[in-house]
Amino acid sequence: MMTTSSDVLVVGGGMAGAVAALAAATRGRSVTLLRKAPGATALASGAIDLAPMGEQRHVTSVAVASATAGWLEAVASRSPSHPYCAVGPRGLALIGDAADMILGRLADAGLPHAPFDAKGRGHLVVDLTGKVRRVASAQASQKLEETEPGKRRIGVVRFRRHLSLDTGLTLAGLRAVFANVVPVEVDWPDEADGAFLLPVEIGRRLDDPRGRSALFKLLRTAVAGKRLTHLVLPPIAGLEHVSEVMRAVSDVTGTKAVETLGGEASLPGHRLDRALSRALEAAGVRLETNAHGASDGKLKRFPGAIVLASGRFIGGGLERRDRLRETIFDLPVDDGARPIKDEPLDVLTSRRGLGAHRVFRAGIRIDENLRPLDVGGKPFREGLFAAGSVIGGHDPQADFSGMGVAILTGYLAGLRAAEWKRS
Amino acid sequence: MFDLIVIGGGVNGSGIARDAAMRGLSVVLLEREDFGVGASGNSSWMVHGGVRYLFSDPTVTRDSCRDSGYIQKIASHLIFRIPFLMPTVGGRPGGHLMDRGYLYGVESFLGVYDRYQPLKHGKQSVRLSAKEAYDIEPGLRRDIVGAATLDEYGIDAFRLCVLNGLAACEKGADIRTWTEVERLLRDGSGRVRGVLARDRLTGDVEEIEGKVTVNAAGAWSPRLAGRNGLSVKMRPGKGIHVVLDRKISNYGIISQAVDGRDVFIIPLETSSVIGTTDDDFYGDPGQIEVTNDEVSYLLEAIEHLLPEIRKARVIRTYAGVRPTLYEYGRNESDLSRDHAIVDHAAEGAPGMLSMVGGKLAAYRMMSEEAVDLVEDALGRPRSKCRTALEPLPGGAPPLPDPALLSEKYETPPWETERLVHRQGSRAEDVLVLTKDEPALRAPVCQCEGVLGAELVWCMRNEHVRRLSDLMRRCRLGHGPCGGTRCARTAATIFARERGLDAEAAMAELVDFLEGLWRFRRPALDGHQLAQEELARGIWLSSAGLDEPARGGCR
Ligand SMILES: Cc1cc2nc3c(=O)[nH]c(=O)nc-3n(C[C@H](O)[C@H](O)[C@H](O)COP(=O)(O)OP(=O)(O)OC[C@H]3O[C@@H](n4cnc5c(N)ncnc54)[C@H](O)[C@@H]3O)c2cc1C
Ligand SMILES: Cc1cc2nc3c(=O)[nH]c(=O)nc-3n(C[C@H](O)[C@H](O)[C@H](O)COP(=O)(O)OP(=O)(O)OC[C@H]3O[C@@H](n4cnc5c(N)ncnc54)[C@H](O)[C@@H]3O)c2cc1C
Repeated sequence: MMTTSSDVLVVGGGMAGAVAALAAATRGRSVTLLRKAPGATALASGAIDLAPMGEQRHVTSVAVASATAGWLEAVASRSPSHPYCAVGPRGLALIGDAADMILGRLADAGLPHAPFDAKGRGHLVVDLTGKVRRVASAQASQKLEETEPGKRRIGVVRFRRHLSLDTGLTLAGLRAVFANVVPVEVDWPDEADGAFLLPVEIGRRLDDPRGRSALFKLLRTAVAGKRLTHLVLPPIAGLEHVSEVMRAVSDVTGTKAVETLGGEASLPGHRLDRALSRALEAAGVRLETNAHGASDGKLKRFPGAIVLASGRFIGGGLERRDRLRETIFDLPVDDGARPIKDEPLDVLTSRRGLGAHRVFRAGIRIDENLRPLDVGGKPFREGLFAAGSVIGGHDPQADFSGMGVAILTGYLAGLRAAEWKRS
Repeated sequence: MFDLIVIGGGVNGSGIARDAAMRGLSVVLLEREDFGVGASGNSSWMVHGGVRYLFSDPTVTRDSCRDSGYIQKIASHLIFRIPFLMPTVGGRPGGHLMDRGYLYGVESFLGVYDRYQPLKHGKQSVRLSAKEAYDIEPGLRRDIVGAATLDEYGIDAFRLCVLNGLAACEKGADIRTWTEVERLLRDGSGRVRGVLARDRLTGDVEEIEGKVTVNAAGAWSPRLAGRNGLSVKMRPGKGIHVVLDRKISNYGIISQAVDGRDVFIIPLETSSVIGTTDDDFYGDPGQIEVTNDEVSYLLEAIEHLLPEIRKARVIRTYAGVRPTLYEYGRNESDLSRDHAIVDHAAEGAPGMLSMVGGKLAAYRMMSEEAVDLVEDALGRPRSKCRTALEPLPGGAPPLPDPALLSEKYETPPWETERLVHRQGSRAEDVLVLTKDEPALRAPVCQCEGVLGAELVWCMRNEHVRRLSDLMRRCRLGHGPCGGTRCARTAATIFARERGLDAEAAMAELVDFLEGLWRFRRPALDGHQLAQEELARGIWLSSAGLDEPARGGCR
């Protein structure tokens, strides 16, 4: 199954694994990436959070500029168990390089992103319920262009024949943030199956210039006379040709068009997953998809460096059957503060479901060089590095460091793996 | 001034409200949350006599068998048949003969039960050889010596309560859900003249006067009575169920837990339900929680016969408190399931009755008995009870053919079938909504097969005050995805129907999701954790629910 001729083997094909593979390939190493299936990355919203940017999670008034630089360091200083802290200040300082590398590769692969600026104040994105937040980056189609408040007039597109794309909550939420938000109601052109199309199917149709022309005619009519500056769409703007689709919508409607973040069956996540595969291929990384995945036994024979980027429960890097465990090496798991073994779930979770839970901070421990640690706190194995959400001590959702951890640790682990030589 | 105030929207309260309204009384029903949230909706949904009560209390079995026959007539759409297997396990060397002896014992036990089967149109029990049992149920462990069959019926008990409430409303009753009775109003002589009730969504408090008050607050009754200086004796028994993401068996299967109690698994729609436990419970029934231990107890009991269940994912649990009649000293499971109607006149509080105990299958008879007493108390002659004759809303035969409806309204076939099961003869009224709004032809909840049209119909016609009420109207969010795919769309529709602003809509969404979390939490394990990680990603990163919502229930 596995090429023993590569210098570096990456286990996991989510954001962390992809970044690690690209970083190692950039250093001239031959890289094989092994993955079981798409993971959390392919289901995510498309936004790239690195840290909370500003006092509040959500922007309530866009006139107030949020705090700038130093937010990444702020996370590190506030929670000592966080991977941002574990990698040390020198590791943290490489976030700009890491982001530039991956965003550049994604742009080359046809999925441009809003530029990353370590000292900037991020970009505005709109989520499914119309909440607006600042993120480090997002797919270019998701960036809400900032304009002078007085002139702003936002239309929110609702396809009347399509329930799951219903933007009613987006509209209501945006109205709580901005003045001048109006609905733009459009009948989906295809009456017969309009109600049943999945976001991915709609995306494919929009990729096709002929497929989108009927819809665009309706859009043009619907915005006529509304004097809109912005147009908010549900997350459907094409699977492969998102830039063209967005440009075409903007041209047809004379607005700055923006998509909301992806939700259930996220098309932006799907898009990201595909673009990552294209970027890996372009960099000469060997991709191996194998539903059984890697196991310790198979990996033992590999002579080079290994990056463990197997994710959490969705990815399959962690699993719980009576006992919480890391699935490949059975590495010790903790929540950043305390080890976790067979504690019952009511100890590992809290009463408020949407709150924070120990089990969702769970993962392995690493040292400054991204090496997984054993029970005694020593590096577990020569030449083994870890990246992404398989690392514990952070909750991508509750502390808003989401993809940021995958990108930073992926980059660092990729570099360490590239440098590593058997002693 | 009402003739009758009913406290509680369980099967007994809603059954009384319907019966009384049909007899022409003016009725108000007050339910602190929503229809069926107590024991009724959280029961095993079996309209059976209960084999378990056969020897301890044959009258319960006879009465409920007869009445479950009636229920099949008045709510034919809601009823489903559950054939059961009771396998007998052998395997101990030398134990074979004894096992056979046990099997015959089971059989003759069921033979007694069979005498009542005609009353509820069930099939006679038969004995199967091991081979026959494996043919129809290949997942059984390999060393059974045989099995006996047993025919039961199930009913969607949430909807049974809702339909009784709707029927009462159609006959003029005033139905108020999310309205809690805080205390009783008494006049100088001690007579109960009404109640003080608080609307938990608006906060409004109101004095409601009634000539007679019936306390059908289930396991809440002792506390409610106690707060007002009255007494209702009860031995409340907590019971939980565990729901798996798939059908494990073709039939219901009865197994034995470590302590010798019967535990069953039944295939229900696309899932399996395992039940149940029975433990004394003296806490607040509204705060009931499921523990990890209770979940393991049930899983282990079934695993004993069906090893396959370890591969399934536990998607949720649910729990209720049985309002069992008071009787001390006996093992919980042996407690009588019969009912009593207590007249508090004996305690110096005329004008108030309490209903205690009962079974789903017997609710109609028990309601009849209670309304007879209400009429006595009102000083009017007893009028004829017609609740066994008139169908519940949607229960009037013939039921529409789902295939024809699905063709006519261009709706997906499986969801249309589910709609007919839940709405019966009203299914077409629901589908007519799609003529004006074609988008409503699409399913919103794919796990439970709920069309957009059904949601809107329920919101408009079935006393839905909160988004979470839809879990009970049409199982929204009760399937394997736990609301991940449907909740946002449902909240969007709800917000539009009710004209809610962003904050109120989010509060509904949060309440809905937290309600599901509460009973998913004790059973999190295996693949469910991946599902949970996905749900968190969606709600926190894509739907902005990472700040506690304000508003909602007070
Ligand atoms: C619904 C959702 C929305 C989100 N929204 C945001 C957001 O708005 N902003 C944000 O910043 N973050 C968001 N996140 C979080 C973010 O997506 C994750 O933190 C990040 O993608 C994790 O990346 P990863 O590479 O560590 O793991 P994954 O993407 O899960 O990748 C793990 C990979 O490892 C593979 N694997 C596992 N075991 C083996 C094995 N034995 N052999 C071979 N391969 C194996 C899996 O197949 C998979 O390919 C969201 C997540 C979800 C689920
Ligand atoms: C686990 C379990 C399994 C069971 N299985 C079966 C079975 O398979 N078959 C069967 O026939 N029976 C079964 N039962 C028994 C059956 O469910 C109950 O006997 C029956 O539902 C009792 O109905 P009820 O209306 O009296 O009580 P409940 O359904 O509990 O209704 C009481 C209602 O009163 C409301 N209320 C409480 N206080 C107030 C107040 N102050 N103001 C307003 N409203 C208030 C509550 O919210 C509640 O909705 C089971 C019970 C349990 C717990």
